[in-house]
Amino acid sequence: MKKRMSGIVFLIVVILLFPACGSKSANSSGATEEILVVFWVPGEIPQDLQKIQDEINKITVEKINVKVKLLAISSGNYIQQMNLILASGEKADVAPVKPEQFGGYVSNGQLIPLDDLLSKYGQGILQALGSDYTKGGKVNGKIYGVTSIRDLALELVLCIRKDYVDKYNIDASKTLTFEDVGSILKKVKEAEPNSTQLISVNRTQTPIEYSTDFDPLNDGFGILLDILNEDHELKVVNWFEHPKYAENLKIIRGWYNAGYIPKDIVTSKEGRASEIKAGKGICYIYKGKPGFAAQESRNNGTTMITIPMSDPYAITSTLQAIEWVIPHNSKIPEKAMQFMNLMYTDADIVNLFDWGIEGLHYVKTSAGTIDYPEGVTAMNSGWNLNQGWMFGNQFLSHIWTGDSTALWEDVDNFNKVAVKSKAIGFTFDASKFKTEMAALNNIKEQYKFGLESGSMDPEVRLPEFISKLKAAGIDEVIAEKQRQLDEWAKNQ
Amino acid sequence: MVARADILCDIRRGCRPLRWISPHKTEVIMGQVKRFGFKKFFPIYIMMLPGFIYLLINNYLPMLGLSLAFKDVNFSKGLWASDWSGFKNFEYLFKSSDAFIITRNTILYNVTFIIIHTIVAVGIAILLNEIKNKFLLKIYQSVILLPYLISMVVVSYLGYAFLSMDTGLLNKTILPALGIERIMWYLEPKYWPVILTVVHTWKGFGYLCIIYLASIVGIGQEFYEAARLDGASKWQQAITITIPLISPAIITMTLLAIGRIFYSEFGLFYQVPMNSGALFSTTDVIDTYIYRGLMYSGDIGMASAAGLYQSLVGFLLVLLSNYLVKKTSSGNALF
Repeated sequence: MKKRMSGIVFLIVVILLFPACGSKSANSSGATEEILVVFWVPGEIPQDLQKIQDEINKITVEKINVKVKLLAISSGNYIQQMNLILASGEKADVAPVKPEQFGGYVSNGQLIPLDDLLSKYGQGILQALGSDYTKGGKVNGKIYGVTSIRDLALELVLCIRKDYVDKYNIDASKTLTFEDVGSILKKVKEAEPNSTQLISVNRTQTPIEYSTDFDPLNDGFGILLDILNEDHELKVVNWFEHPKYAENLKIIRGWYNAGYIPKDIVTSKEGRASEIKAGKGICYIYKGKPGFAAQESRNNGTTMITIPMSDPYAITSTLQAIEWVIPHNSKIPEKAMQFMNLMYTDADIVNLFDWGIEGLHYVKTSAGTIDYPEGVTAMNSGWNLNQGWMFGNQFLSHIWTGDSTALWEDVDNFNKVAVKSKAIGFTFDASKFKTEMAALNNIKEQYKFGLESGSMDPEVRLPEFISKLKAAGIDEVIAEKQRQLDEWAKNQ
Repeated sequence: MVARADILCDIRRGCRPLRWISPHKTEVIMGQVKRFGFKKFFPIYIMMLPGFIYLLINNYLPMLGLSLAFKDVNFSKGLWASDWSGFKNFEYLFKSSDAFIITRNTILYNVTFIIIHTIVAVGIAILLNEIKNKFLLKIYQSVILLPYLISMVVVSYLGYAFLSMDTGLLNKTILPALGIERIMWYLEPKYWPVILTVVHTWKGFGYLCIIYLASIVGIGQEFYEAARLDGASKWQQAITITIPLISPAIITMTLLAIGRIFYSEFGLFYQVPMNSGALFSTTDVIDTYIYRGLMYSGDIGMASAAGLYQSLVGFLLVLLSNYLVKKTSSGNALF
């Protein structure tokens, strides 16, 4: 009897516990609807996120009768979290996506096409972006994303610490070639033979990646060469088989053997900012823009200057570096589009996102720029995203001290002057090649970073790499890409 | 995870392993007939209910999702209305150039792990059983269990401290002291089968060891006394008494491990080699291949297909192994 009583009591206790788990919060749907804006931040979630959200809401409730909730996710986790959000159907109305995600989400049907929404509620966006750059978000003829207004082109640069430039009298005035960088490194190494690392290299940013003007056409398997030549051909080539690739690999291998690149580089997980801050490396080859030196100096904690290695050019991946999309999860896409429109037309909203609240996170200076208020620094500011390039129309935002007040004109000019790749707007549909892409991605992970950091001997490994790619089907992928490119070009 | 073998000890008859008693059957155990009815065990069934419901919802209900492995998942059509694509989602696991390598690596590593873990865990459990000092025993148990609780990312950096090509303990101190040329650990695949086996054993044997120790503790001392009187050495005692009496536990754990033979501990094969491409020929397994291949496309159909493939093979192997065990020593089979 005792056992039975205790059993029944136990059952009752268990049943009473059920309501505690899984209580859904009632959806308060009044006249004002709420949208969820998801975005990434470089490090931790900013402390003053709620304050910024409140300020933004003051404007959006008044102008478009929409309440905004912000969800900030750390950059390292962003892709995984977005995958989960999109797959689970959770609420998400507006979000930026990275280029690696964009094509996949479109082919999985996870994004809403924006053409109608743009013409009804997004006139501000269309006007600010212009038709050329709006094309960047088109896949199979429909627009799925709008890029933010920022530096939409890139130039290859060597970004190097200013104190080293002064110390070794490095000539910062002429355009450098890859070999020139080698001579600079040699000079420094001779003067400092015990240095373990001179040039910062990591998985997503090898010197080879930014040494030649090519258009990776989404995934790098099959590229267009010679973009700076306005008349470049629309011919898809296998970059890894190209003689120039082999040449560059030999040069990098020389740098590795000479000690400019540490032997352990293949295990490194750090980014360029943390490497420079830690004294590991004095320079890196990367993509630059007007104001890049000032931005990198802020990030790296030491003054950097940039020496150009090419002229400016624009390719689809610079445009798709950030695409604002409306996931299919959104139940109120019209409201989402109205909010996106505000990001491109309303200077207050842009500045809230870019710099925070005036008086709290920044103050205006007499020079027409803005700076930290008294007592606030990069370390303790509650809103120090430094991601102006992400939110809508950057040309509407204030300019930080250190950049010239003409910065946005420079960038606008930069965008206009850049040679545009003829393949802007073309997105490769790889859905028939899922097996090949899985295999190719694995082979890329196996060889690319090892080769391009100089850790692997190109004499032995490059032929292996090329033959493995071929065995996995890279030639078929390239042929299909060429076919799609030709067909797309006919309809332009 | 609890060892399935129960030891029933009786002062008259000594110790015998007990067969699993089903509440609905009658079992003849050592001359006593017991009948276990539903009424008597009603409270126990009630206690079992939450766990059972959890199992149903968490493990059985999602099996409906196996259909995703055969679909071309397109979210705008919804998960269930997406088109059927037959076996297309499975192709990348078999057709690609690396399919043989990843399958070979997965199986060889798992077989090696099962064999070595069992030997090490049983051996150490037998040794631990000999320790008389309770306090020291607790310390040893905690120490061998500690690596099991450490995250694999931390372990990968511990490995880095040893194997770093510029600053690691081996290259900087130990190898020069032995007069050997320094080795580029993260660029040479041939050392990694040994390195990964050592790391995985170090990390995992504690858990297995505790389970076997629990089994050994239940063995009655009469056996050992009788053996000592007969002049058996410690070694002979271990071989003839301990191991046969804990064989139900060993067989159970081994069968469960065989069920996971196509799975790999992702952290071990991705983090510890620091994702260095040069090592793939000996460190790439099915799970890492799937991750690296699908990281950008996020294709749910292909990922589900891989999961189905791995679990199906494991299931078939468990059935086969259980059948073989039944044939040889029928008391010890899982079912």
